[in-house]
Amino acid sequence: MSWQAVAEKDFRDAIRSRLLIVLTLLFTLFSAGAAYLVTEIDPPQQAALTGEVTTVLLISGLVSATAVFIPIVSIAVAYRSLAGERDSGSLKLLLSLPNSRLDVVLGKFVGRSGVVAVALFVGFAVGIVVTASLADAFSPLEYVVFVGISMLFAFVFIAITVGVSAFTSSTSRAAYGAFGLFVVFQFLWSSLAQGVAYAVNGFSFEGIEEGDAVFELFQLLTILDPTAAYQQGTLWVVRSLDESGELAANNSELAFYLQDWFGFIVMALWIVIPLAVGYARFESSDL
Amino acid sequence: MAAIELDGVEKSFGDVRALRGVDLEVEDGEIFGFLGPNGAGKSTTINVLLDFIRPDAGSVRVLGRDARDDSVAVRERTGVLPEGFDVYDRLTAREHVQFAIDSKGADDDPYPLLEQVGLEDAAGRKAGGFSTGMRQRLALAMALVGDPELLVLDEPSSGLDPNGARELREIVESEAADGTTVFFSSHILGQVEAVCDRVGIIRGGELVAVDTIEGLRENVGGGSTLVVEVDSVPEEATHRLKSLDGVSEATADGTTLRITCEDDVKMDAVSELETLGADVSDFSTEEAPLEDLFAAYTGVDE
Repeated sequence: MSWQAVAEKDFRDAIRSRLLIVLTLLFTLFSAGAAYLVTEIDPPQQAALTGEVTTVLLISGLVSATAVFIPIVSIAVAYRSLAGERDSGSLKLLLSLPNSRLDVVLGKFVGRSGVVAVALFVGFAVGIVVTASLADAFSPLEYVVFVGISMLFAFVFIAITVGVSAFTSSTSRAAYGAFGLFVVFQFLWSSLAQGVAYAVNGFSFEGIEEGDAVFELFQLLTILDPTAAYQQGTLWVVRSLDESGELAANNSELAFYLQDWFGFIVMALWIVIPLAVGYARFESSDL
Repeated sequence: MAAIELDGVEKSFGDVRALRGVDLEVEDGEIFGFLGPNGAGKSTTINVLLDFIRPDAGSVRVLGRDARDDSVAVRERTGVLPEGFDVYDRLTAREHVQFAIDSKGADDDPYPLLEQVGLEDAAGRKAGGFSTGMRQRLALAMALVGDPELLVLDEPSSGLDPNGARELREIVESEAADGTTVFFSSHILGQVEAVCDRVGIIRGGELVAVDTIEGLRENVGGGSTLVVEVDSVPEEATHRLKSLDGVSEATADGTTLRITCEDDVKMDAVSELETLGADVSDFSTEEAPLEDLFAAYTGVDE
């Protein structure tokens, strides 16, 4: 297994390009700025009611921002990962050595994930200081959990982008492909889910009620969006930490895919499937 | 055991038939030169050996293993200098070699390898600033990691100056002296002549000859040129010479005549000149230039 060698080389290359420094600064600015925005300028409605910005409220405010910011950063970091080496010809150097194509895909995923993970961790470590000083009742544990789940979400978009980069043979196509998927997940997915429900229901919304099969299908489709899964997963963990399991008890009668933990399964699938599809295509193609 | 065995290998890219049933065997321990004009299928053949591309038909075995199914095992024991590669601009020469060491799971030290290819002074420099020749040297150092059993070099001397080409030849020879099989491609016959035990010539996706250089000369026939010095070239001399049986070409330049002919008509050619009234002061035999030999096989006229 030489994916470690590929990952290490890739990570080193990223550090040299100052990518790591730029990303760390970006994440620092983002986490501090977003915390400030949520607490001081545009607090969640609930906080306005109670007059208190808790960590939970802060995080629910942050999640909608990270859900956009993290994918964009991840795509920028990873779209060139394989297609770029293919374009330049360094892939030939890489594959002249005893690296399998699986080593290359996994190594790239791990290497780029490492870059984003370090930047995100450092950036949010600075953010935690800002947040602690701004939130009225700050809980470090919830914040750390939030950072952890956000990191997982970053890995999802790195996996998707590395998968796309392995799938295509040019960097421009990799960029369009990955960014296109992001747009779909971010803006079009819920419309698509509605459209499917509409079509399944005989091209009408009439008669769809909570609890029937079509509605359940719609709910399942909605949660399969990695961005929705991230938001749902984060809120589930943070809430259950905050309210010591009260909500979890209420949820236990719902279908499995409506359980909040299902968001994590969805995220795991969105890591494995794009990598597998990208690898399968990369493995079977001529350089 | 053969180091490389190709059996009926075919590969098409769209309408272009890049390889049309190539059969080739390279013996263990030999230096094999793989020749052909650009676009003849040299790189395609090498890419098939490395599993960069997959043949449509035929079998490819390298170091006794299937080039497709056991590609990683093949590349563990093979050093490769690919064609049309690029380096990692931001990594130093030393980091490149270290990466090759890590990938191969070898325990070499990068420095002696860089020294061997003449990059010892550039070990700590980023490869992005390297010239083509330095990139070639760097890739060669990476290829030498782990003392490979087989070296596959695709157009290794491209971008090297004459000095670099000589050093490359020395490296190839010293590796071969240790029992390493060397397979390298070139479109210039002169480069392979000095080092190769055998050469294969590919043309239009087909292997047209596999032999030693001497063997190729013999096969082409009429390979030698008679150079005759005369006091003055008689009129009609070249015309008369060409009409002799066994003479394929005769040209005059000042007082020098060059006659391409079979060995047993050389004396006939000289006496024909004397009959025409020329005073022959000197004559000698030249072997056919390698370029002519190459052109005879590849059909490429200068």
